[in-house]
Amino acid sequence: MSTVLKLENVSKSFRDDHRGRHTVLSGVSLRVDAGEIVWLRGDSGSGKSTVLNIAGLLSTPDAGSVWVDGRDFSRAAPKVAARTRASRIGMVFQSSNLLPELTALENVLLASRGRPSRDQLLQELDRFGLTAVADRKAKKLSGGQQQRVAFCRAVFNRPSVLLADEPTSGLDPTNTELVLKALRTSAANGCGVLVASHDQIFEQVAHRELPMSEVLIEQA
Amino acid sequence: MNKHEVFIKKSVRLTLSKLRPLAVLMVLGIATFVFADSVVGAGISSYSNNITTNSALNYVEVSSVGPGSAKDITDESLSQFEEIPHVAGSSGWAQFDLALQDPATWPTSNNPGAFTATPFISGVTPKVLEGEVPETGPKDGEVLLPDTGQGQKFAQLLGKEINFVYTKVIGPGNGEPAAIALRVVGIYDNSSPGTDGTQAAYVSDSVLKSTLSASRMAGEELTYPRAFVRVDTAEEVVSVQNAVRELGYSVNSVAGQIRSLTGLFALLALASWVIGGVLVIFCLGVGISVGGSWIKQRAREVGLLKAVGWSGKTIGGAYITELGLVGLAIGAGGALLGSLLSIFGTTVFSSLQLELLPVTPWAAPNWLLVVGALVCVPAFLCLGAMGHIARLARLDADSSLRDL
Repeated sequence: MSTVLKLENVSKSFRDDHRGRHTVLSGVSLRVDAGEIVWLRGDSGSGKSTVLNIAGLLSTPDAGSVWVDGRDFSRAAPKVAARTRASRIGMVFQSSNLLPELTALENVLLASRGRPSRDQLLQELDRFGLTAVADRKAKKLSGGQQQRVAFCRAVFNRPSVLLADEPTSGLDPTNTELVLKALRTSAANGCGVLVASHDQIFEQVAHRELPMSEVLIEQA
Repeated sequence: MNKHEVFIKKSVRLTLSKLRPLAVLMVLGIATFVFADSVVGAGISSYSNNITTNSALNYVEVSSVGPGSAKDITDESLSQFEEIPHVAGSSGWAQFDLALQDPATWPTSNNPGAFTATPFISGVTPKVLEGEVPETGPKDGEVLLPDTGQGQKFAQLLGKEINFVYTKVIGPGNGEPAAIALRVVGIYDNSSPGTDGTQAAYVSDSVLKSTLSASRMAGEELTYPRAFVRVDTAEEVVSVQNAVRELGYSVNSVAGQIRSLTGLFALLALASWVIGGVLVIFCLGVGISVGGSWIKQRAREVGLLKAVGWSGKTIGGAYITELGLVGLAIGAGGALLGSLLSIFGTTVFSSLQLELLPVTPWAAPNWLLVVGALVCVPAFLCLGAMGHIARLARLDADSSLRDL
């Protein structure tokens, strides 16, 4: 299996109004292979989201390197990072992060490459059981529907890497099951999946479990 | 489907909906400025038109007696005047006594005394208070009477056909009363009498001429102490005045006042520019503050768009396009409303015939102001947003998303 995502000795700190700089990550390393689901486990505030944001090229590490599909993006220009996110990375956030005034279909369209037809978009939404609400504004959807739209958006471009930050947060068992199914399907399609969550339910789908306390010694 | 087009289209609709109160304020503001400018413009146009084509300014007054000249004004003289380039017409001026024949038609039991029949000179004759009198004056068989005289009000004679009496010459030193029936079509303001006197009764040129002829001995040539030569526009008065003078007549005009009036017009025109300036400042202030604050609120959206692969440049371009279109919609709304207000508002004002605000009806709006609104609103909205867009475009998506 090829490695689709690799973090090497990544450090990240943020400016803190009270304490100067606050170090969130120090010497973090991990890797995700194609078709693999890796569960990044840790409590709230342990830095899971920061790891995902760096892996998704949304944030630049202070030190260390980030490799996606075998290419180092640690110091990539914002434009290159944006292009890579669009083509190789899919992201699902804790809160679904849809644009509330846009419909489910339009939210998926926003992440698409090229000019997909309406039929293509509907086909993708159908995979997540969302055809009936395709033209409904995101703000009118239930939490579970919103999260499914977010998944649909994340995988529409068939990314190499799928990053999911607490994807089952606030979902009922039925929707949680749908999210797990989506993760399995993505991995089965060859996508490397990194899930950050404290929810034990990911034991069911993860090929590997990676506690935040151990990412410091994970050998990339 | 094009994601950028869909996003911009939705955002424009959302922005107009969320900023509706401010958008309405801007539309109303622009419309008010466009309308105000049109009223000023229509006022200038009306004043200018009246003064240069229909006032004492475009008349040359010719006198049969004057310093260094003494020449009778006859019908032949009037024909000569009318051959001068830029002369629109001429009227001989003379007066004769005219009295109400039947005491039953007197406003009171007191004798109202005599009127002096006078030719109606448009632009020189006093303001009409009551009745419908065309700009060319009373027609044959009609008369325009003063408002008051001898303590009596003549308004009650309005619309009635009255017999007037004048003296017809039947021989040297001999005359007899002759009657003429005239319908009273208007009452004019004689509170500030001009050279025509307080008791002038205005009649048509032909009534004046036929009655004057009857009051002269047969064969005696009709002469006028004065004549008025009407010039096409006030600008040509001086050349016509010189031409009449060259014919040997004494002339006078009030065209010399044109220079000071030109200054007045310039001042009124300046008011139009001031309105334009205030409109630009209004668009600048509202546009910059609205554009800036609106984009500032959208950090989360920027983070999300970046997360799904949009570059800062693409997001910035989309926001500028969105604000440009929103501004264009607001500017167009204001310009359209202002134009409609201008066209219909000036018509309403004109129909009211306001003394202080004589405006030409159906006045089109100042196109410079309309274009200004169409350009300024989008430009200033974008200008106000530019700094925030640049900051958000540079910001890490992670930082934007943390603003959730």
